Amino acid sequence: MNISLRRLLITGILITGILLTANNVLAVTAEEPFLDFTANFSYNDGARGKAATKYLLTFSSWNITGGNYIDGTYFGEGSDPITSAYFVIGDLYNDDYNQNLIFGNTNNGGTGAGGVTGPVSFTITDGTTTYFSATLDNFIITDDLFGTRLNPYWDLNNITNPTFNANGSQYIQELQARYNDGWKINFGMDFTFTSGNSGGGYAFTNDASGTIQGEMAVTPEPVSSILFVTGGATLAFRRYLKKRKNNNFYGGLK
Amino acid sequence: MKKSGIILLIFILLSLVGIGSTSAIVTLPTSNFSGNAQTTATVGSDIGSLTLVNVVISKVNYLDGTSTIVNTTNETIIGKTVTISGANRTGDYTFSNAIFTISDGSFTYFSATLSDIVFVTDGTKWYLNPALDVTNPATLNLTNIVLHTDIDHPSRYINELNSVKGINNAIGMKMILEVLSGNIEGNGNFNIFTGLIDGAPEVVAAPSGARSVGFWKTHDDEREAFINSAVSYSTVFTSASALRYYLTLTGKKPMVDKAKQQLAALLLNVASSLNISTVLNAGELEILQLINPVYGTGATVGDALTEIENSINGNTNLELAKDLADEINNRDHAE
Repeated sequence: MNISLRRLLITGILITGILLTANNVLAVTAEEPFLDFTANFSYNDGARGKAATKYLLTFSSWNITGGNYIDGTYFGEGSDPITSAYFVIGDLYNDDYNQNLIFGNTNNGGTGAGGVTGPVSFTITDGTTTYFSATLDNFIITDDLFGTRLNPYWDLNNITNPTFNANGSQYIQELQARYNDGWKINFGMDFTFTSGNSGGGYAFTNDASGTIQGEMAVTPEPVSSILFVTGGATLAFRRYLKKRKNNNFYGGLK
Repeated sequence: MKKSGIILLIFILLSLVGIGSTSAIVTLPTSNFSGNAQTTATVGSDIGSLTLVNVVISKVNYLDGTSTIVNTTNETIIGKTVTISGANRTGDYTFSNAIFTISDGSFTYFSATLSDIVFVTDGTKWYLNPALDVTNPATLNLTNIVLHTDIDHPSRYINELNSVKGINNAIGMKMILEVLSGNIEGNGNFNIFTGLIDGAPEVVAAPSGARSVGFWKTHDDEREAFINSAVSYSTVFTSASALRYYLTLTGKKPMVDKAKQQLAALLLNVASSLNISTVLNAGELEILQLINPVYGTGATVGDALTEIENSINGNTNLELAKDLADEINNRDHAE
């Protein structure tokens, strides 16, 4: 059991590397079709607000700016009726620090019981026609070196129970086709703060406002991703063992 | 494996340098742009490039917190084309300085030099200038800004941007790209997940006329807005922190420190509202002549500044230097 300092160091670096890359390895890629959007956001920490709006995150001025179809074609504003629509999202609440990055449908008003996920309504409508309705859950924010983001690794699968009504929208038709094939629907966004804290895990701990840009995309069903990663890792490991065995064999001949 | 290694290395480097600080600040007005981006590989003598495809301004956010996603009678910039031209590949993730414009094809609302085009990744998306912070000049990557509006192309956004773009004529832009096909090291197509043109630090109005030590001690916004410029006029103070230290000294202090304190305020006055070619009044000239009799009628604030600095650096005439700076600092708002 004589472990050298060098081996310990190498093992430490390896473990650190694995931890750091865990997100990258498990991350999936957002695929087409997708929608791009912008909006404003406002967050009230309740210090001077009414109880009903305490810890409430709201959005306004939604603009669906365009997107891509499955074949890679870009559609801008006006070329698919979905770009005339906007999102309507139910009330999202977080809680005090340590639970400030988790939003859900429950307003616990700072009792420490809040900051849990929970589904809220999610629709895409132009006020007359509802193109899409579903529930939005797992509204968990990542607040780190790269900014304040929802679902940066496209792994939350946060849009579920969808109902589709294409009504002339090719995007909705394609979204439905992907969903029926077992793909997941993901909703992600990047927050830009013009007031309030952000970064280092402190986002949404005081009154805040700003703008968002984001994407509603589909991702391959998780089972396929897991099989792909597991299969790849197994192949790589077998190749490594084979190489090591060969090296030992030829090394022994010298 | 090589790519994973590079991604890991970049991630670790980013962690070490602390990019994306915990207090990034963005100020209004801002605008968002949407569409696709494209990179090409360098093949032989064909230099690769970064360009934008079908990119338009999709939203503007005004100084008063309101925003618009549609054009109005005083806003016509929504839907106008955003381009990057001349961004030639200099490495796997880097491109040369380029021209960034917003136009309708014939009328250009906005043009600027886009610098420091370096993309970094979190493993899923590619980030240009993710740590954009208007208080950090190193992140203001749009310079040489030229703004235009006219009667046929009104734009409240451009007008507001013009009012706040700052004395350095610099603002910031950040972009987050998501891979659609290919890769950034070669030929790649990307969706612009986030495209943001930031505002700039709000311009702090220069105080009206010269101000006293007391004013500069207590008016933090004004002091900090002009402190770097003030240091540039001085041989006594070599940093903003040194100037700030002597300016805010309290209690009993030696004459040299008293002189430095008045000099600090004088430098801030010169940096903000007091032109160095301003002719000294009779009382100021009288003190200046006690320091150096060579001066006569027509001596300027610049002359006084030179003699005050020489006195402090030479450790002579300290009280006169202090009195002269004090006299000038209180010339417009006598206490």
